[in-house]
Amino acid sequence: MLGTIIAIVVVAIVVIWAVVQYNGLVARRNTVDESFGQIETQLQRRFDLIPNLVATAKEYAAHEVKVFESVTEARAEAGRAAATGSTEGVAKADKLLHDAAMEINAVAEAYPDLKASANFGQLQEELASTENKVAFSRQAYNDSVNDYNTKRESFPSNILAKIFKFTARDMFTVEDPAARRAVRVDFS
Amino acid sequence: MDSAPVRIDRESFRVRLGKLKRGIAISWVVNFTLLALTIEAALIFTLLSGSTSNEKIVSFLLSTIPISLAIAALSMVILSARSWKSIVLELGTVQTDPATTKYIQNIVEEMSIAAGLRGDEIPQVGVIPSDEPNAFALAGRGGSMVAVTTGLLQITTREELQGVIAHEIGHLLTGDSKAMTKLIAMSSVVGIISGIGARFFRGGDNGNKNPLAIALIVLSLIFLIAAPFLSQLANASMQRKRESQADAMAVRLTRNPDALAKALRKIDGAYSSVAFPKKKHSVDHAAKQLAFFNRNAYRTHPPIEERVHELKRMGADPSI
Repeated sequence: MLGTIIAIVVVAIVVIWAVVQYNGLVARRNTVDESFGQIETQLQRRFDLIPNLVATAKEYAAHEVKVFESVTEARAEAGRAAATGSTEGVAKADKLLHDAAMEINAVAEAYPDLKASANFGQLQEELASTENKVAFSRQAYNDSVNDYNTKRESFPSNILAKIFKFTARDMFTVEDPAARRAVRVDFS
Repeated sequence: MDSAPVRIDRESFRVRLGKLKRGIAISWVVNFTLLALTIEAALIFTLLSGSTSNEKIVSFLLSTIPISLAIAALSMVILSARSWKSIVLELGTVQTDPATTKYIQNIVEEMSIAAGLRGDEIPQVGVIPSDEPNAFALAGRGGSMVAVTTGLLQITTREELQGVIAHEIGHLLTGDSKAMTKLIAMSSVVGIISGIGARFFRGGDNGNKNPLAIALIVLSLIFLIAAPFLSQLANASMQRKRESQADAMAVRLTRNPDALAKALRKIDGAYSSVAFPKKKHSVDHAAKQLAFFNRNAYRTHPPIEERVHELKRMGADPSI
């Protein structure tokens, strides 16, 4: 009788432990997925912002046709890369859009009228903020991946991770170290 | 693009954050215990007669202790859901021009993204018309708000403001135990008044006095008087930890200890160079304890020097 009770208690403890560990893994995996969604959202914002930037820049720097063409092209390519939904595709889109935005900024440097216009100033704040948002969503994603992978690999939750096939996630890496640093617009 | 990328010893600030978190958890436990004891003392002081026998004292305690614990737990739940609307009204936020509003909103959104906040969790933005450079974080069931003064907007760069806002969001992520102090003070006042009232109306306790009962009543009165001070004492030390924790959180969110350290220096400089009107028009009159920077509360806020030093340990430029 006593033996049965002990057995039941032990089984109950193991089951409760397993449920807690499993839920912990699921919660962390969901955070990883949500954070990845956030990166895509912010990339979409930047994607939508670029035509506005181009339109405003065109008013003041009409003959920089080549720049605008290459920016528009890069944007289209970024759209296709992001549509794959894979980490590499999104990373590629991130880089393309970042470079495109930087190109327009470079144009603005050469055209003081453009740089001084109120509309472009606002767009630049939007751009600086969007660049930051992309960078911070990447950072939040990597933090969540780190958290999830640590939980997945550490004992004893790794036992459950193996049984239920919780696969490792990749960090979001940026090849170009310059792209790590967000655009900083100086308002002073 | 003025400074080289900042290297942060992530291990050190993670460990630091963990330690601070434990410290703050202790402050909640201390406050909860104090609140439960205050309610129990109020019950003893109000209801226990001086001639109660030993057996009855035991059964009185056995029946009232669970009640006190339950009331304390319930109060904590209600407290954690309190609305911040009234505090915001007291501070008096203003509308600013769309560009400025967007600028602050952008920074708040950036930090919310870094903190992994979503939807309703993203705080609203408020601007307080005051020349004093300061910032506040307010939270309740109705959502949360980060408010900055116009004075702060004037002296900070975008990065520095980002650091300050990250600090405030750090507060929102960790909760606050200051309201507990108010609750304990309230309970103790209610306990003393109701106890004196009850004793007055009941008249003198006739019959044999039980020394144990008398001792309990006297002890509970002493505790009722001391409780608010004990709670304040416990919170003052925890408050410092909370500030350091919010600073560490800000570094975790921005990965930019330089900007926060610079902002602290600037704010400190602004306060020491200009004599801001005291009381009434002063922002910290309205929300002394909530402030990012509190010149009068060195017992609750670590000194600027200490905060900057801590930020340097987390990777800030040593020359700041």
